Amino acid sequence: MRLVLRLLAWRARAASAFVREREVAKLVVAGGFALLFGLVVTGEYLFFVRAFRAVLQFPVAAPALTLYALEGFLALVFVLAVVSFVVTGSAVFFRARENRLLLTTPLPLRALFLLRAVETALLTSWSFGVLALPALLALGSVWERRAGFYLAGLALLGGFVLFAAALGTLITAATAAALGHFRSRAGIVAVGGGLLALAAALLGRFVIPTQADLYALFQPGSLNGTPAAIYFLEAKFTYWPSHPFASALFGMATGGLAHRLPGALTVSLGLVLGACLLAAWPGRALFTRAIREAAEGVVVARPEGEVATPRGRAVFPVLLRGPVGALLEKDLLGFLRNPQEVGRGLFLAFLLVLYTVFLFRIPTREIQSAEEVVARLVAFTLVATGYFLTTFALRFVFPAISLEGRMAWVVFSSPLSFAHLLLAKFTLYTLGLFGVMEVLSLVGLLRLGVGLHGFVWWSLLLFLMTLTVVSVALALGTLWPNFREENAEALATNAGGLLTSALCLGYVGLVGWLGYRFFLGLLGGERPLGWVAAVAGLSLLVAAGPLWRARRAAAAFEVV
Amino acid sequence: MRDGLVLRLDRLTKRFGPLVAVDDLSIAVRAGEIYGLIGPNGSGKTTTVKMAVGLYRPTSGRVEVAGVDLVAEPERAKRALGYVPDEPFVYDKLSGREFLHLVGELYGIPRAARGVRIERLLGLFPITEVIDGFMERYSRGNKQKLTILASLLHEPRVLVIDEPIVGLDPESAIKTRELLLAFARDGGTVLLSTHTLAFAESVCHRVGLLEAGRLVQEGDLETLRRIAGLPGASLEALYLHFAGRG
Repeated sequence: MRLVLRLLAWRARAASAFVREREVAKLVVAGGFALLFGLVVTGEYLFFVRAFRAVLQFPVAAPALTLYALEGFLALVFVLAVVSFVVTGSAVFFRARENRLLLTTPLPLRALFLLRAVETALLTSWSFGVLALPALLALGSVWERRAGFYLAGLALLGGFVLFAAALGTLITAATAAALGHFRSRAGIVAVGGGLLALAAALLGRFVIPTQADLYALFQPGSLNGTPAAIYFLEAKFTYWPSHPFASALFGMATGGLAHRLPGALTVSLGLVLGACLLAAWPGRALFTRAIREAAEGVVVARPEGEVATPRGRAVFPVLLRGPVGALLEKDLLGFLRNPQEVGRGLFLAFLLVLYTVFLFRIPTREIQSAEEVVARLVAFTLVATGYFLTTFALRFVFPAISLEGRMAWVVFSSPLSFAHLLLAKFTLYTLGLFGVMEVLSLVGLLRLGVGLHGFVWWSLLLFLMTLTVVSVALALGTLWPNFREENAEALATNAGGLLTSALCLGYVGLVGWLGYRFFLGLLGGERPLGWVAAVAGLSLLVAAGPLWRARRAAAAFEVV
Repeated sequence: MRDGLVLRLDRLTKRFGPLVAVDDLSIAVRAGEIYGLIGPNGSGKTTTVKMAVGLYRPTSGRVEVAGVDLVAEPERAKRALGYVPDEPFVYDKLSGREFLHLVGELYGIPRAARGVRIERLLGLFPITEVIDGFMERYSRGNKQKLTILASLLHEPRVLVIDEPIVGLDPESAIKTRELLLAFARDGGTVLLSTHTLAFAESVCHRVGLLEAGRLVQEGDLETLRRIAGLPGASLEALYLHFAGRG
């Protein structure tokens, strides 16, 4: 344990070197990210406060709606935390390059296992904090709780994070052991896809309310002084591992189901301890088996024919033609043949699908002043899609030039101009992202009743937004290249990444507002083309500068 | 092209901040000639090679390939160049064959001609067994062989090679030597940088000794022996002599 702590402390020291060395540029970037983070958390807090206050407007349904929000929220977070842990963990546990070095040292495998589990938990649980902390603060603030509630809530949520991480560790180790040498791409994709499908089915069945659920929540009946809807929800979420945590948090916040609070807390504690034991015993044994095979597969050259190695195609490129087409196809194959990248892409797409399903369940027909509400929902969807686009662009588009990396010599020593390379990346990401987002949003948008006509206009706005976000990410990624860094996530943490985040999020917010004005007019029977023109103008304004600078900077590119 | 010179590095200087990596360096290589750059670590060999293929922009000076200015017309000049880097970084998720096709496509070689050339090139090194596997599983030597083959695919007039035989097995190193000699015999021009002095002695028509970014000696083996006053000396002995360590 001491060894693991020392390794983690050493990493933390290395990561924070710029603070001690007082590198102004890095301090400014870190401060910028902290500010952005603070703004996001504050925005979420205000959103949650508004939502919980709105719930209190319905005295009959307020406790049930609050419990539903907590059950649904924790179930959603539980699924996302476990899936995210497994997707990230498969790389961190078994593919980290450092493993080659550490496996040749006397470091015990149990210490390596613990190190990887802690690292993955740190990497994947921060997003939980971004969501859960403002929700906890808002809950306490609306229900006027004292400091003890916040401390107990933090402890409970901390236990919840530990529970999800321990289960994630167990599943990651079991998956790796089951897949043997961890080299079957189809196997990894199948496990990832299976997990996502299972998650989607469970969330679709339990977390997303049906219309019948909504009607039941507003029923005024009660049993022994407790609203009947509470019993209904208790039964609905009984088998969810997140249920005791949600129940305990509900009890602490609202005072409801007070007699069940000790039981809920005891079960929560039991779950945390049980999951930790499972991770520590069979989980560690499975890891020990799998890590040796994984390391062997990477390091040791085996005799031909002993293992089934993945094979390329006899001709290349198959789908596209010309130098630009070949580069596009190379990027596409690089993505599709990398299970970790496919997993991350699928995970982001999964979140958007989930959001779309939520849209599908909204009872728009029952809502009065539907035009106003639909315009708001369409604009909100535009903002949500823009947020996903920005996240995707930061993870995949921003690092696209840098990730040519140590292989950049292939392209830059060839007669291909940099403009062609930029065009290849630009085309791939713009068309690819637009296609995916369009398909994912189609169902939800049509369900909202914007009609085919409205969907065509939506598509135009989405295309402009995709074009702009991709342009900004690609251009700023070109202006801040780093051909030595191989970690795409680390690449987006420089000044260029910060600027991309701030610029894209600000732009997406403005497009959301302009989109709202446009759809409000359109649904009211007007043809408010001025708002679309404003989006086009804004897009040009945001994208043109970075693209122009990127082309100029690229002329002086030097490849390590 | 003047005087049959195919590759001209004319008064090249490269600075990285306050560091002068290459200082006023001029080298000219003729058709059919193999020119070797030798020198200690940090002497500017790799920087020179990278400027010769357009991966670094010279702070001042000029690179001319087959009569074309590399900075002014990079796309035209690079058509005549083949390059093998010091570290054979390749795309992990492509097979060797796909990589060769990609390089062929970048140089505009039609698919049919590409296929024939790839098959012919694959006969040069024994890598046919692994050529369809992903390159993430290749040994360093196999990656090196592949980058050498890729550099020859578009039939360049000039080959620029940084450390040609590092990681190669002895048989492949011998093949590489024969390959370079044959390339030069057919009128090709080679600029190579190496620490393996025995290899340089066996293939280079002329060598240039770099120190701290400057060319301190240049010539064929006989000329260098005469200047050093060491008749019959090996390149290794001459290197130590000129470097002041002999």
